[in-house]
Amino acid sequence: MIIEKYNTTDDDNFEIGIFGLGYESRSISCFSQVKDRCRMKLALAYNYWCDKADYKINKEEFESNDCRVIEVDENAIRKDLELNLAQIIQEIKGKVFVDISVMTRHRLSELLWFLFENMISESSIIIAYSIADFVEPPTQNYPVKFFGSIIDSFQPLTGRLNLHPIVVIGLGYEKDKALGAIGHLDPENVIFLIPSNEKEQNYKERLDENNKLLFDNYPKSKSLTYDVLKPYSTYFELKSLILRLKKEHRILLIPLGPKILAVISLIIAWEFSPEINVWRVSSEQLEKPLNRKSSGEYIYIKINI
Amino acid sequence: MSNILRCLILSDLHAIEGGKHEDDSYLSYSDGKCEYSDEFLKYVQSLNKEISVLICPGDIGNKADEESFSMGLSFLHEVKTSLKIKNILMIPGNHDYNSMDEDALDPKSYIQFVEPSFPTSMHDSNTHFWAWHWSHIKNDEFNAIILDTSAYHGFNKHEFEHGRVLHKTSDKIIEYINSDEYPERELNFLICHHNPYRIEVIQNEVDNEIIDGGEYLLNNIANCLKGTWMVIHGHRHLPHIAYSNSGTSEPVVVFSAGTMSAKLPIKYSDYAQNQFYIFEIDISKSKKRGIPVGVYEAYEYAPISGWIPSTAERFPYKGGFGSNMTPHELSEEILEIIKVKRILRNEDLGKVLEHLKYFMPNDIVKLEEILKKEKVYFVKNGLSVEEIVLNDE
Amino acid sequence: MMNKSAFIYDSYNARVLTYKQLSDTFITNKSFLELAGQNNTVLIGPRGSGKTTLLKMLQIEALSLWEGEKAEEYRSKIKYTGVFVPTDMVWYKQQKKLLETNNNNAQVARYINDLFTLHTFECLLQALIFRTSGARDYRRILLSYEKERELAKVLATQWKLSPDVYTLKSLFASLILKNQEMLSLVTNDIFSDPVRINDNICSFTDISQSLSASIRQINNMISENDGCWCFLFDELELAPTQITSDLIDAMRGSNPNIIYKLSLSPYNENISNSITIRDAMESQDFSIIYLPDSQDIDFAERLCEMVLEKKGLSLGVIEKFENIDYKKEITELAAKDNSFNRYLERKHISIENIENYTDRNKKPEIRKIRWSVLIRNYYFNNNLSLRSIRRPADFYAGFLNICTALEYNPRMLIGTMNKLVQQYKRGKIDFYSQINALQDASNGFNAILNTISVGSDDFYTVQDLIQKISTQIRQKYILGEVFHDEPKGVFFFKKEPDINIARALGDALNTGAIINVTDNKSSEFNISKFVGKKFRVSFIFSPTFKLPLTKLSPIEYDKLIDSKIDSISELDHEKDNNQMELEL
Repeated sequence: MIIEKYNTTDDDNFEIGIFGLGYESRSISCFSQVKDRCRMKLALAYNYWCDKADYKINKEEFESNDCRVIEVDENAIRKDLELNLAQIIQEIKGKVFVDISVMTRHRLSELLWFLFENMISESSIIIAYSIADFVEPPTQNYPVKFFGSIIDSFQPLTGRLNLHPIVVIGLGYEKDKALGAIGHLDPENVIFLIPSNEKEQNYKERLDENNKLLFDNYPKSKSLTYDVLKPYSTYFELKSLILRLKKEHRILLIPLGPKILAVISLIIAWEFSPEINVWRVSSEQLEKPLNRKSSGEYIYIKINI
Repeated sequence: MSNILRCLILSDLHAIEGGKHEDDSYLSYSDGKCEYSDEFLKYVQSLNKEISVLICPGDIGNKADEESFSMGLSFLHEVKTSLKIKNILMIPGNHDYNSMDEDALDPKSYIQFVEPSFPTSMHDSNTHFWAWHWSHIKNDEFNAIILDTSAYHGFNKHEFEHGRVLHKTSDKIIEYINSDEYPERELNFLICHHNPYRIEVIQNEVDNEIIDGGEYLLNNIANCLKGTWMVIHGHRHLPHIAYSNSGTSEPVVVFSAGTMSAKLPIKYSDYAQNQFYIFEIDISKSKKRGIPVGVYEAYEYAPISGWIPSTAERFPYKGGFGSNMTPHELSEEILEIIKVKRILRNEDLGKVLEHLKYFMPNDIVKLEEILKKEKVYFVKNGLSVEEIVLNDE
Repeated sequence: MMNKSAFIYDSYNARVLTYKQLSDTFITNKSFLELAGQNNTVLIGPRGSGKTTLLKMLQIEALSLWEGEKAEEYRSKIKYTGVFVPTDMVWYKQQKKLLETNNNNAQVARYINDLFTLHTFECLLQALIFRTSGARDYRRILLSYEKERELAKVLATQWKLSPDVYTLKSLFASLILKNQEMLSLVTNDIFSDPVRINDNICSFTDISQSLSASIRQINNMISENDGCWCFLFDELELAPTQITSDLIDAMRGSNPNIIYKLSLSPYNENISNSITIRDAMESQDFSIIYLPDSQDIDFAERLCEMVLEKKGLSLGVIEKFENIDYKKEITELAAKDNSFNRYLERKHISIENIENYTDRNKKPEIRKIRWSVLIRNYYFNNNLSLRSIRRPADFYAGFLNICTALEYNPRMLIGTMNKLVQQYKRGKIDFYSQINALQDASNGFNAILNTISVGSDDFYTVQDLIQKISTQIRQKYILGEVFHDEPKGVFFFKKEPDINIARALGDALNTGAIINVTDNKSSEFNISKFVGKKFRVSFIFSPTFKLPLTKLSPIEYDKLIDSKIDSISELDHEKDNNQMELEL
């Protein structure tokens, strides 16, 4: 697998575009840009919150532009993908466009893992992410309903017990979410991945505020700051870090924070499989739905299978 | 004069300035500052080594950007000054040539006129370099031929894909070396950007980026009688050391340096990460052997831990070149000892490891395999050998 | 470029400290003295209570490097070789998921047991190699190559390894390789093929038997027939269930060459208690140590002083909350709280004579109600409405209260002291800073509890459970309509709670969010059932939930939680007290 930087151009065509149908208006941001350049179009819909915000408008937009809408059960994502996508994907030789903007981490991970396993070489995946305008973080701590592997079907035992475990955790701006996860696991070593976006200072301020206890409790933990707008660079540096760490540690990646980190973590987990596990921390439907609008900024990364 | 010549090799910097192509390199300058460069300097200083020569075989800048080339050049001079290095050997790489811009008058004009002067501080040497694509640097300790294998980039649309040295140029170089103007020295360097022969160590990868005419030059240099030869190049971002295939039993040592700061093409990141090297060449042993003899240390960069001795399996922290024994010869010696002792460790092991000091990585692998056939095994902890043991069951 | 903070990693999590760091910062205490004894021991305590530190200090590498005041004394007294065997939560969750995914298939369970056994062999071999080639003289062995070879051969056979040559280091390399080979089996979907999996698992017998056999051989070869090896199994509740059971059963035995010291969290639903405290009391070879030791104030002081001394400070800078005008508090409360007045009348306590009472008359009673008085007086207005103060009162501050609130948990004490030293100004660490530090500790704890899902309709997470219990205690017994001289707060079960609540309580116990306060009449040393035991919420939540820093009276859990009973009348309260005495 080779990862490249990518910038979309008007004459770039795709064999298939896979989108997320959600209630956020961002759901159709990427779609509107590439809909005429996708030979096939598929939108993965949810079976909950279908009455919220822009869900119906988005669905209408997909359907009126020859995009097939498939409802995917969050508890059986893999099964639904195999049913609807397996044959198509195995025959694709060109580019597959995947818009992860409104997909849950669980969903995008299952989808990507499925694509990695089924796509043939000489094909490629363009991951697109529409960055949202800043919204304030939730004021309450939502209870966690799930804390475990991000991929249901891939949960290896990673490494000898005698290797020290290390958790590499991306931080987000939800209050004490990372602290809870780290505290629960109580690992020997922790590394923080801190997102930065020079165009969005508010996010960084909230992140610092809401992770203050974490920084207090782990005052000398190592941390890296990554640029949300530079996924290739983030991939390169995270991979370099993992290469170094895996010589002496069992590694667990927990990509909280911007979704693009989840994508990068998953790519690295695939490349080093089965040595790296990626986990998620989710309140699932206990969280209040939030309609994040597109900021107009898009980021892309290309995966050559 | 010291018997050891110590060189610091920094290759393929791909320096960046002002946020342009920021994903391409760690050596990224903003307002003249770069954290990576500071960290590197601090680390190298902490190693406390007296270094005689700094070598950079090209790609000092990135994507033909003038400002980035200037920053890269400043970095090299800063390293030279901070570490009190007397000599510096540099050449341009393909990234330093503005070969892709069809409107550019001259692909090399900005590096030709840059300050401080490049590639040397001497006007005559530079004149010769730009005119003939090579130049001779000499001092009491060594000779160096600096060769521009990117010289023809920009003149046709395919030239940038590989390096080139015309046979005529090689002939001129050899003629010069054989002349009285070129003094004999125990050690001679040939510094170029591209690799003079194919390096194909990654499965399914074909190396088409070599120097067209490189082997011709290499074979001829090996036959010169002005001392031993070492070729140092970059370009592939792939650390590798080997003896040249020059038809003589006193070949040239060819070292392909990995990149110091470029963010690697990811296909290589399993092979080695960003590295720099310190080579120690034993002048008297080299003279005796007729090939460069010495050891090297490789250091790698990784986020968080910064610079550390290399842990890359394929190009680890320590290695050597110029051994006067072949793996078979050493294996004979080891077998003789081990038939009596049955196990070599501590001091006994130390004596064997002393011979291994000048072995190339592939020779060590070969030695291990030869011994295995005789039921003698290396017991390792990571990459270091802790015991050599005979299985006489 | 990714920016980075070039810190050298530092943590007071004992497992990661190097042997030298560990021994340099180690402080002995009564528990360590007891643990170091030449007998089997079970060490029980929640996370952060010091189990790992104590166990690690008994491993041979740490003991050999220790240069503290009592180091030589301990080295001369300890007649065994300590082998530390770690495990961790990440591994535990992964192996648990593997089992679940494979429907708890017996072969998969054996496979996981094998991995753990190999891991134990690895730890044993590391200790053995240290003894043969370690840096110091402590318990050094001189082993000829012949003996080493013979030993390596025998161990290789026992451990089902095929090294190229027979040396201890080669055996170690071979163990690592075997481990890696076995790990790679998981991704090859091997569990769907019973024949293939059978061919690839080692199927070691009972781990204690495997270890016995190995130790016998080792002692024979190193000519130490009386040689004693001590296996220090940390966080054993995270090990495979069968392994844990086998090791606990092995504690009964009396193998003179092996000692087991096992650390466990308080709650383990899967561990069958074939061994009881009575066994322990009857057997002189077996002891149980509960951590943390809240009686060991000396240890808490020394621990905290160690942190403060790094900044040139001492315990004296922690501002003390003393000289409360208790009479004033009682007077004020009496003026606003009629139920309190009625209590005073009932008990014939005269406010004017408060200062004159002695231990022979009313003083114990007055001492007993201190926390209730302080809390009610602080949080109630004159009309008995609640003041809207978010910040806990200053009377929670002071070094002793901090220790109590943190349950004398070493990790939390160190963490809190590290924070407090940053707040030192004008010659002291003031109440404000102390209360903030306690709040932070509580909030941090809550964040962890919020990630432990309960799977019940009543509570999403363990945090919800703790919140419910604490709120009920406060609303009914502390800040309710009626003053309670013996407020309820310790809870017990008449019947086993449903499985989800049981697990939530178990998680709460293991994290230290609730504390087992059962007295020694209980027969089990670790909890797998709840009936017959008593618990309370950790004092760390007391400042936040406005609860006393003292043990409360017992009440049945269902009654405590029942939201329909929002407050207790005085009559109910009296009835309850009488009933409690009968039930317990």
